[in-house]
Amino acid sequence: MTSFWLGAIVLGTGLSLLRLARANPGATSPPPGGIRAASSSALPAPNPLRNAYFGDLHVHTSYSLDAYAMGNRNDPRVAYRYGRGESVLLPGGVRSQLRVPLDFMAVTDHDIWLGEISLCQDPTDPAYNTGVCRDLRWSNQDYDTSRTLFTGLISSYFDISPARHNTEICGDVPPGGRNKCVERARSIWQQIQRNADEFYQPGLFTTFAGFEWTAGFKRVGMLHRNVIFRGGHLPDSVLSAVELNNTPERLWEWLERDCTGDCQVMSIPHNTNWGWGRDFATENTDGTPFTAEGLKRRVRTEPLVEIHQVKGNSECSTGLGTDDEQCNFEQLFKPCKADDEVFCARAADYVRNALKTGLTLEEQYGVNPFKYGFIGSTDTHSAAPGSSDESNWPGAHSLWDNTAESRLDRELAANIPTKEIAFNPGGLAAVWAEANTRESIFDALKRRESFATSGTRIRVRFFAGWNYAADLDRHADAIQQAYSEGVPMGGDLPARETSGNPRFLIWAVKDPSSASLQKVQVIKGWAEGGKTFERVYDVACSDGLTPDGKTHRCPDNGAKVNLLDCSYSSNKGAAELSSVWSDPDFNPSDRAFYYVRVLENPTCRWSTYDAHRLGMKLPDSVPSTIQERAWSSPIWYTPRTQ
Amino acid sequence: MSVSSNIEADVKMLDVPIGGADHEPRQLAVVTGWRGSSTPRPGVAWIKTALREPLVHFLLAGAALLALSSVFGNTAGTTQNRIEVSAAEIDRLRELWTRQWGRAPDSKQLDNLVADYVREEIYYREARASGLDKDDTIVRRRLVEKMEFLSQEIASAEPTDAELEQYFAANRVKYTIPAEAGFTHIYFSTSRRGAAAFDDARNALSRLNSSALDAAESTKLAATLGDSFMLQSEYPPQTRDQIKDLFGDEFAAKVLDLEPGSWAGPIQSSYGWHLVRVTEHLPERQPALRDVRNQVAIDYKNQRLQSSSDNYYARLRQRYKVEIDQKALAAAKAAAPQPGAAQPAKGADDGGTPPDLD
Repeated sequence: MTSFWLGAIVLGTGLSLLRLARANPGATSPPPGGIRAASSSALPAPNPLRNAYFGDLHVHTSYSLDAYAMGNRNDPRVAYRYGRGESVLLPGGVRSQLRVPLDFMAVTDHDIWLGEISLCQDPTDPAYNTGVCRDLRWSNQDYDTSRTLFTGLISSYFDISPARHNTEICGDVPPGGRNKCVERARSIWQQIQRNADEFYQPGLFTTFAGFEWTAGFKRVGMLHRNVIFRGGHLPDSVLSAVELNNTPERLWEWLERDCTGDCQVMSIPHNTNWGWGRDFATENTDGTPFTAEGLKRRVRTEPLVEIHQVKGNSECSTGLGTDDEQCNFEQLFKPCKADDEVFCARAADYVRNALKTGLTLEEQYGVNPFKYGFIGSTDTHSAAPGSSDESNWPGAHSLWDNTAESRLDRELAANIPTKEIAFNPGGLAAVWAEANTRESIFDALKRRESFATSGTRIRVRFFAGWNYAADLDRHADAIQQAYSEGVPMGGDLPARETSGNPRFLIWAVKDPSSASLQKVQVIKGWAEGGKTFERVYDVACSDGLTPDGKTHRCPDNGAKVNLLDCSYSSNKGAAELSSVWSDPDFNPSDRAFYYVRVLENPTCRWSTYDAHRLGMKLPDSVPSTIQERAWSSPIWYTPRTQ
Repeated sequence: MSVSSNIEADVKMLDVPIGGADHEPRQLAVVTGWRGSSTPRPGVAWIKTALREPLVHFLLAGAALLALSSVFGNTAGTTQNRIEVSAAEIDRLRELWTRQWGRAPDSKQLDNLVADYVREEIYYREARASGLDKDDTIVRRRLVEKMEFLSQEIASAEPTDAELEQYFAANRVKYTIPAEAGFTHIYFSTSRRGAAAFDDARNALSRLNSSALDAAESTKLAATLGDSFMLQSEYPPQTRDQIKDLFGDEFAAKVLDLEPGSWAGPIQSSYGWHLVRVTEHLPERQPALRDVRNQVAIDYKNQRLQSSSDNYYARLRQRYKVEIDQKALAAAKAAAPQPGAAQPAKGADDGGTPPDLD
């Protein structure tokens, strides 16, 4: 007994040790204009016409083994502080602060190795003194150390394709069995939930508990999903990709089995551009054919896909199932050549093609497994959620890209044929929701009333109905009518009662802090006779221009960027663009989807800003300018069964 | 020795020697964390039960004394333990590093290696002095199990009202609620009206402010003026930052300066021109603690965590006299590359599993 209580006292000492090792809260300061404190304890009344809220649902902190090994010691609390607008010291001592605080966010640390990384920092555990843990703890020394460590150590000690537990840290693991690491991950999962609860400020800042389910295959092929919980009583522990055999079908089964009652959850795939053709395959992950039941479960659990983030865009790629000239945007990989298997792009990796495939699968199985709404996010590994500003990007990989020099110069890794310079600051997730609360924002995500941006705060509305007035956008109560007589983005057109074509209300306003809008486009995909097609229509042009009747394209509005100082034309483009558009090629017997893409005037890419910082020549391997953009979730049309 | 029946009294004994200069006691925070926790968890139930046992009171009091003597008996300046970092040790550290990284450590890394060695040695000795190394499997396992749990419990333990009040009083300015304005507006789109938007807005304003109209007529007229707007036409009270995010900075500044009640403008936003009527103006004000309690608790806990990380090692370190063979270290540094000198690291980028997880 005496030794027990002596132990308890020692425990206090050890606790501080543990804090030393685990928590690096980072020096923080309040956001500009004071804490966004609620003016009273009452929430603002919900807005039935819904507000746009911006967030980031893909964020890594020191709880993720890769981020930790890149030298990140900022934990989820620091990430929340950053997301809500505080000035924070990022890895390597870089001070950074968001221009506009986020409205909502989730920390999504990797499920695999949550236990390992914690045990490695726990001086009371024998694992603490293993070579692998000592090495890991050295990873915040400097870039060279971190990089050497990562490449050498991770490859020797941590398998990721597919992932396994590390036996040196966890002990031997019976297949599917629980071990020390699984047990530790369970308590970390409790901590993750407490962090999310602690920072939730209804009406001002919404946080979700979540994690990244990290199933991998062949050379960093990604079947990854961010799992986001609405709240309520969450499962006691995380069943990681290791426990679920790297099989997404098992993830959906588990979530449906263990997240019940007041628990609600969704899984959001991302980086389908790293899917090596597998993410939108037309069979199950284990090669067995789809079943209607399995697909129903999938579509219940996966309403959204993340189409833009640091490691590239996944909407579409020019030449792969499309000749859309705007699909050549932040592409990470080149199209596969004959024998290429990995680190190259296939038509099947892109969301637009998946949406098309979904239409034919629906004919076959009675359910469309690729009925995806859109979000963007960052996938920051520097615990810097929402850091998507091209002019002020702090990097996304901790010590690896926290300086302008490193972002412009470094190889990612010798065996991944891409460089840091091909990355981008990532995007944002946005929703139309009644209030800034967990319930309201989660429900908006679930019904796909969401849109993605490439990082700026363009706001876009998109509705469809059969009876909209041709000048609906001029009506003072346009939004109210659009809701009452049609469906918003993410929805299904109601059954066709009339002989007319569907009408779409499309409305976009610029980010007050970014360039004006150049044009708004509708992307239509449809299935006809077992084949799929797509067409891009410019539906609203800026500067008094009108789309060409044949090509459906707006003439160039002549907006320019001065590459010497990144200033851009202030007299070109529109503050807002709207249209009530009717599909001129509508065929009531074809399944179809429609989504909106809004394009800003060109502005400097982040790499141009960085080159200016260093007084360097502009890099020629990447474009000097980009067109920031927003993508609405699609609206689907399904013919009545004959 | 008398056995106290009040745990907190025992704990407060710790205040005296630890509190000293400018920091609240760490160990006290641990114990009050258990008792002050507002959400009892099944895992700490055993502690709470145990705390009511007289035998436990006895043991705890003894342990507290023991802890006092072992942790604070040796104050800085009296007998210090000795840690030597010899030439041989420096050599060994350098060689280990070189073997691992395929290059010699630079002088900055050498400093880090030595500091880390000292720190590790101190912790190791402390742990041994505290009996952590005794092979008492049950205790050990139990400690390991509870350790993680308790650390989280304490990190998230609710601070007491007194602690929060004190922190809040010292940091009031941080919680100032900026001025807010609720407003309704009529929009004149430059995209639709071009340069005429401004004149249209000005003309509309003079109609609205015509003395011939009563309030009801004015409201009725307002509904017929201007262009449809994609966002809201009425906003509940918003801070300047919030208005700025929607309409731009200039607009936000002007709206906050308006007198409530009457139509004003035209004011330019990022989208066009607006006539604005402020419906409610809330001046900058100090919230009561209860209105920002959650916020204050987060900040207070963060500060507590930070200062404990900062000070804990420093305090332990004070109790050791560290002797580094400066000559050997200087010699090793002289032969070392300068910090930051670019050297390709052996073993980097030579295959294996690609690093990026997602």
